[in-house]
Amino acid sequence: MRLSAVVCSQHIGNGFRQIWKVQSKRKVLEFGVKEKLEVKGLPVVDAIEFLNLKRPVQSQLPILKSQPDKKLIDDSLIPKMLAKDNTHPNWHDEPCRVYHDHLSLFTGIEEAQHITKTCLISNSLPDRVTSFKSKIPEEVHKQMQRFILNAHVLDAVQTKLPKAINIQRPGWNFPRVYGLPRWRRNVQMMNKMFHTVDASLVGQNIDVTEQQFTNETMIRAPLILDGKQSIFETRQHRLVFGRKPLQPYLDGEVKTELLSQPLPDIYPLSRVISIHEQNIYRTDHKFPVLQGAPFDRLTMAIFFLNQPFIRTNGTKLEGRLLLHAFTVAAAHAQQRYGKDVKDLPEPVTINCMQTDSRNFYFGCLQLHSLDLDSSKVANNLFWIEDPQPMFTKCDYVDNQPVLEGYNPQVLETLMALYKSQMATV
Amino acid sequence: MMQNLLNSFSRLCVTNSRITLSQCMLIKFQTPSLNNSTQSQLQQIRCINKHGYLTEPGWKAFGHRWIVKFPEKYTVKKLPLMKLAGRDPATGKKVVGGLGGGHKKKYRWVDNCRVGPKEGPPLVEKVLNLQYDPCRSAKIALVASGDKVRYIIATSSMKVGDLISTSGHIPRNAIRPKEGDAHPLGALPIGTEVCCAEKYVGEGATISVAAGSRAVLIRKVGNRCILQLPSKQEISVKQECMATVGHVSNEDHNTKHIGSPNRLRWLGFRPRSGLWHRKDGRHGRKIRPLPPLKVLDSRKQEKIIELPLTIATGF
Repeated sequence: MRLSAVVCSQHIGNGFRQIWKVQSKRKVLEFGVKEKLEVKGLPVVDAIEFLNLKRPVQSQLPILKSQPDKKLIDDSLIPKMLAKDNTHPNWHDEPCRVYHDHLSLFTGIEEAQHITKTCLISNSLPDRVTSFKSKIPEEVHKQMQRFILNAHVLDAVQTKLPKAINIQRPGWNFPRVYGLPRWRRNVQMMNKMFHTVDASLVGQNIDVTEQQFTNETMIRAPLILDGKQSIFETRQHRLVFGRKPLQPYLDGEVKTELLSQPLPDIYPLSRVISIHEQNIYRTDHKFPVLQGAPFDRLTMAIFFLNQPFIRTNGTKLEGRLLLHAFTVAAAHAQQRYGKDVKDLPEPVTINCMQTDSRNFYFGCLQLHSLDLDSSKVANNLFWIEDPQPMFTKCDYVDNQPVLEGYNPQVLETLMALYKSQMATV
Repeated sequence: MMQNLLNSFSRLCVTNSRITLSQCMLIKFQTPSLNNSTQSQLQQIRCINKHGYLTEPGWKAFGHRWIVKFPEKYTVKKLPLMKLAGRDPATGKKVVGGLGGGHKKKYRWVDNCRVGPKEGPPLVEKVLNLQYDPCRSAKIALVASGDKVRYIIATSSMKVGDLISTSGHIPRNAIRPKEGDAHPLGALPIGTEVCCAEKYVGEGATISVAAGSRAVLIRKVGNRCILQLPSKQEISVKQECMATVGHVSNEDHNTKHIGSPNRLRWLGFRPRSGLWHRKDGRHGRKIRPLPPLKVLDSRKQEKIIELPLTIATGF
């Protein structure tokens, strides 16, 4: 008789096999549920039969009752994706330069300064805003940290995230991760931040209902750039409106001195190098709030970075903030003073912010002119702070949600901007 | 569409030296339509060169390796690419073994024609980015001037933010070359190391475009320049042929180890046979003398007859 081999060492595969031998033979216990259900008149079907049922898939198209074979709508009537050629309803034979949300600048903020004729005051905000900057109590910061965890880790929305790519390992397929999409994080983060700011301002007897919001509305400003019609449009934003406009941050001799300084050199590039020409565009002016509405004065604009992978270097995102803020302010100015306005009778001043829910860019724009081909060196003023990270790490560590390196400066800067708007009301 | 074509990038001012305009006409349109000037320009653009960087919009085969879909107008967007795995694109039969599979790629349309003005200041371009290209061993540079952007093959010392110039002028004395600049071979001093050189005037760079390669300008004979190729063979080309000063980037490409047989599969190669090839010269080859000097494009140009225009009688 042949004896079986003695298994001396511990082997996890053998262990699993032994467990499977036992676990694979399981008995279905009778608890009397079937009889009780049948007494109540409920049908009981075997699970295997239920899974193998061949159910017909209903067509999405409505069917006539009198003629069940015929469809009410023909398949050809269902709208299809529009071809991007001359059959498109928005096709124009003459191409036009269009600035939009998904466009990135080649060089950075220097290019944006040349396009918008703007003087840059870097790494600072206007004195009026900084005068409102003050320390916020610890409880508010603790609440904000809870909100960050809620927005980044604990949110219930779970979607299939885009494929992860590593250029050092081509051909490597990473496991597909379910998680929070970036747009959801941005929206949640903004909601929570403004909720925190509003709650703390109510304690200081400030009426926060004097500011109203719009979300993700199309804004379009047709302007003339290098002697040709061009379009500036944006959608991924949230706008704040008040009853009265923001007062200009700077005036008098200081302003004229700043505006006479030369802009940075971008030789041998043209300023329109990043803004491509395209044939499919719309030329009508668009702004979400009508003139004469109770809250029709734009005070603040928040722009979102929603793309999953953004390759940036240098000052590309700062340039994006300037051009987006200019687009919004220009559309607002065109609504107030007419579509053909060049030099504005009163400057349009807005605060602006850009975020990917981790890094925050704060800025202020003072718009004096929409004449992009003017002979002057610069017309407008733009203040911008260096990007501030909200935290260093916010993720699950050993199945525990962890937030590290919280930066209180971000909330304080937002509070200062928001308070300065309230003071002018 | 015609205007768009004419407005597209620098290659459009390139003229063909080998196929004359009338030949192009005969190839494309057999009906006599010579009076239409716009059509004749279109023909000139379409029949550019045998390497075909701009022949016709649509699918274009690169050997038996892959086919690329070219748009009508020059673009720096990534172009769709389909692998052929050694098959002939027309017949579909297997021609080359050892190709197939690999990681998905996109094609970058590199502009090989660096054409500069023959008079006045040169064309100055700024290097915006140095990039990896899966379809070649060298690195490519994204350069821009005015409102035009294009890819060119990067030289070894090129950095982001550099200004590079392109000139078509041939002065009496040789210029002092700067790496990355493109000049006609006749303008460069003897002994200069060049890359991305042309064989025929206006054809586009074909000599030493691989990573780390360079050719040397040995001597000038009359209107012709003699180049020593990386294989030590010497060729004589016209002095108007453009070349870039310096070496091609990614110089240590040949020293990088592939590492594993599977990585070779990622790169699009199938397993090799491993047998001794007597006739190919695998595992050692006899050293033979170099082939003699090859003279390219030695056709004589027709002399221009000057007609004196005079008026015998007054009006």
